[in-house]
Amino acid sequence: MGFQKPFRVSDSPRCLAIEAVTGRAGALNEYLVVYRAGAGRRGRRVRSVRELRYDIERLRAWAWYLAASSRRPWWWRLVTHLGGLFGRRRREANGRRRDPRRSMQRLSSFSVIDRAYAALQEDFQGRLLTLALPQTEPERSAACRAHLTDKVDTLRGLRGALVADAGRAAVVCVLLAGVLRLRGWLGLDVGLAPGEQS
Amino acid sequence: MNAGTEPETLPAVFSLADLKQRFHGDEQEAMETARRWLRSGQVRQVAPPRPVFIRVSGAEPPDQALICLALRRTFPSLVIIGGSALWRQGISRDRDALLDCAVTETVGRCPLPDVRLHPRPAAWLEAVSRAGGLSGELHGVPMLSAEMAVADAAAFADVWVPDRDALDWRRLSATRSAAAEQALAPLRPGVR
Repeated sequence: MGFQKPFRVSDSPRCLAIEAVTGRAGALNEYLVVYRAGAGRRGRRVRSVRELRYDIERLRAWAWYLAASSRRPWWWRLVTHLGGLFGRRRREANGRRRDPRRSMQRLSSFSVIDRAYAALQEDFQGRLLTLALPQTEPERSAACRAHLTDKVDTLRGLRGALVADAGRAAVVCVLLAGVLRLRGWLGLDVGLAPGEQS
Repeated sequence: MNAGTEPETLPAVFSLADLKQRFHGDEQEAMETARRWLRSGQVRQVAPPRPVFIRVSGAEPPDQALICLALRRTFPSLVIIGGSALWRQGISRDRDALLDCAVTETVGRCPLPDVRLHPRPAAWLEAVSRAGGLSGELHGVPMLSAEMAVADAAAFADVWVPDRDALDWRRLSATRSAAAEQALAPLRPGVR
């Protein structure tokens, strides 16, 4: 799946994580717009719209949580505490599972976030492959390759950390997605302001 | 080289994630294999540097369904625009030479034959969709409605549309044309 943003240098793993999650949410939102406009078969379309909307909500929630982690406001500490409390015993599996209440397949929160990290990681790996082609200037390519390899390694580390913290991530996503939905109903901003990323 | 590492063992359009899965998550092996296939010309990146690939079989160009699938997997915002949308909806008598598509992101080059990608602003797809400007699809790729295709071509002036005489104007609604123009007005280049 394509990525929204053009190549940008992120300063820290946190920024890279936010870039991955917001980029993925943007890409899923584009699929959502296309499905909403009537592309695809009707039954599949309705299901896809619901699945996409739910995945985007959780990605925005996780991006919000990551963005606030530098300031650590009271609500962030509360959510982190609750995440640790209720997420400890929670087993998050990779892939889809059936939601009996809504008769649809859902990705676990862990999978949604992991796929976002994986998408950005593969985007960087795609760039590495392009650099390996003969027409690329060698001097430029060596510096870029080192830079991109560094980003790929950082994202691999983030994915590893997510595996260890999957239960907390799931609780955080559920809690903050609810808050974001509420903010949406009240007409408040639910996006991630650009300034919040740094 | 074992049979499992030939491009033919994968779908005609595949991503780096598919390749990693083939190697049971071994990223190094997947990257090395992709690099080898790219260098030998057995596969191409659909839109470098995106990690989506299309298999190439000799000099034969891939068929349109395959090209559409490859582009759809690469660009979520892909929409057929301009004369390509008009001809496929029977509004134009002149056939397009290239498949003109819009994507709401910056694109480098697209090495696929007979395709041209046109960048659009981030809010374009949302604006088009809100104005009801998508109508029908080609191999799963949504198309602009005839009115929106004309309005988009006028607003961005970067896509081929047939001469006025080659269009069936009776089939274009004046109301929908006005709505399409209004929806795109804030996105025109140079408008803030």
